[in-house]
Amino acid sequence: MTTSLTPASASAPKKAHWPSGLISAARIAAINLFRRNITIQYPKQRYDQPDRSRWAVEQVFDEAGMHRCTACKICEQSCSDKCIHIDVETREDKTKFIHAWNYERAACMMCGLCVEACPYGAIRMGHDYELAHSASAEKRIDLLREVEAIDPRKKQAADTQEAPDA
Amino acid sequence: MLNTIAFLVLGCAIILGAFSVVTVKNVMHAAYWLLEVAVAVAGLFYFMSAEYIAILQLLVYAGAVGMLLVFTVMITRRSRIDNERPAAFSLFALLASALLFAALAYGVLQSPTFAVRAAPATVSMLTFGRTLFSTDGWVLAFEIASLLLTVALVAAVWWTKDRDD
Amino acid sequence: MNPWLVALLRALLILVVMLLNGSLAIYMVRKVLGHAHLRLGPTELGPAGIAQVIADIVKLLTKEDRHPNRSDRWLYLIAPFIVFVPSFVAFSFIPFTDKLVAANPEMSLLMMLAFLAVPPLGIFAAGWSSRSKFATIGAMRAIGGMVTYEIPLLLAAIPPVILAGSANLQAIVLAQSHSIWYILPCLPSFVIALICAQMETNQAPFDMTEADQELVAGFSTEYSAMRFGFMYLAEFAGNFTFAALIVSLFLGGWTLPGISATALGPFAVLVFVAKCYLLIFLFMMVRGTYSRYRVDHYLEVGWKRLLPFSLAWIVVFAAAVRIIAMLKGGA
Repeated sequence: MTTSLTPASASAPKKAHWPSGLISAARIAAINLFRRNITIQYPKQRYDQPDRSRWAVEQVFDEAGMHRCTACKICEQSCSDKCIHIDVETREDKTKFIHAWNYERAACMMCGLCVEACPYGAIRMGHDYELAHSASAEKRIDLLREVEAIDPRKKQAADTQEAPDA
Repeated sequence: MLNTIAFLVLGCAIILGAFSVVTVKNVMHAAYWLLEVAVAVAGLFYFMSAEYIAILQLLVYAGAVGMLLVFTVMITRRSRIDNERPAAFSLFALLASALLFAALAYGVLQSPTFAVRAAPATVSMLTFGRTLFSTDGWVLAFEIASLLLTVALVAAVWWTKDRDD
Repeated sequence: MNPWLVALLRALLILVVMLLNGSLAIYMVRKVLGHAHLRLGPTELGPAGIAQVIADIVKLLTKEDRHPNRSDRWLYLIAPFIVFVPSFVAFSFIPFTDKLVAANPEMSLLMMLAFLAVPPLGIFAAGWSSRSKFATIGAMRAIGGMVTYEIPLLLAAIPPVILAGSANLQAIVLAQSHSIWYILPCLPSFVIALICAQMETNQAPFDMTEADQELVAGFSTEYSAMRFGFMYLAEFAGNFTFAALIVSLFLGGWTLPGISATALGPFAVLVFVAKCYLLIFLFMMVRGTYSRYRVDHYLEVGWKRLLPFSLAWIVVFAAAVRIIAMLKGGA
């Protein structure tokens, strides 16, 4: 049994007669004469980024200046462009030392999957968009270098300890 | 004095232009030389105080006929080679045009009214309108006939067009 | 004074006015179109971008002037002059004040319209001689459109002639100062004249001849440096010529209602120029508002709708004038 896609009660769109296009365009033009222009004169003025805007990945530092990365490498695995390379050394007592948290910023497509994947909130999408560079060495940068990775068990304990206080 | 200089300059322009129309190899150039002749003739009419004829010459000849000629050349050119036309010399054509020139020159020089009279007063719109609608010249009938001819042309083109609806 | 010198000075004055108009119009079109699109237009050079005009002119003067190899050399060189000179001559018939008019023959309106019939041929020559596909198509569209819209323009100029009783532009302007501005009784003619002027100056919505998205630059694609500058100047000159024509025919020219010519004195020039630039502003606003008409669409509008309508309007208008005259004479 075939049914038509449009129900019988739907009416066809009203056919516009020829002056209506001319008149509506003239109306818009007349209104636009009295509107302020919407140009943002970069670089003299800059646009306020919304909070959710996604630009290059940045590390999150707390008030003490401490990073939150535990070198779990979940972000490295979830990156679609394989931009993140974490050079980690695991010692005998199972603690980790981050030699370099390397980030190929020029290839990053800023999808945000790594930030979503990070269980510790150690990275976020930054708001800096003026990333143009002329030196080839600036394509890959180290966001962290020669630091101790945070122990996830200590961090979890610290978080659960803070929760009843907060 | 101004009239003499104008006549000399415009006359030379007309003769040079007319000669070029016939002898230039590129057909589009010939069309534009014809346009130049039309404009120069309009200037000549203006200096002979025939202002309205000058206007008509510009509007009709330069504007419409020149345009028609240019359209014709444009539509009938299929390739760059078509732009050139053979410049063949014809003794018969030379003799015929020389004979025509002699006859015209004789007729013009023999005419007693060849001397230029005092410049006539320029026609005002009122007299122009009266003459157009007067019954001794029947100019209006002439205009209506040309309008009818235009309508007939348009109708003929439309009838013979390949209609595909 | 020596009449030759007077004639030369008049021609020189017209040329200076055209150049000034060109430079003002370049700035004005970019600013007006910008603000119509809610953006700013030029802002960097000079205060509010005024020096952009100088930069544009210097750029046009110093670019390399080359011509395509396959182009038709003579026609290519002469075409900008065929476009510019008739506009220049037509401009000389415009009355700026009651005494300031460069050329005032008996039928100056018809003469002006006759000279304005020649630039389409120059545009065609420019496009055809460039021997490039964009230029040729642009030239064909230009010649088709401009010839089409010349006729309604001529017909739209007739009602003011009927009311004024003369085809002299100065006489029409003076007649308007004694009665009302002719835009009121001849409003359809005013609208037709505006539409035809928009087409004759190749501005949107009728700019199919030089649409960037279609034809690069249409008939002036292969022109560079000062030759292109000449065409560009000719376009703005045509803009001002048509605006001046419509102002003289319908908006009272250099007169103001109620003020006599002697009272106005030299301010008549300012009045006239202000009115012209108001109309040019209108042209530019229309340019920035409406979308482009397709070629066959605007040809259809020109031949099938505008031409019969303007003919019918002349008949109706003339009949109305005659009837009113008979009623006034009888009563």
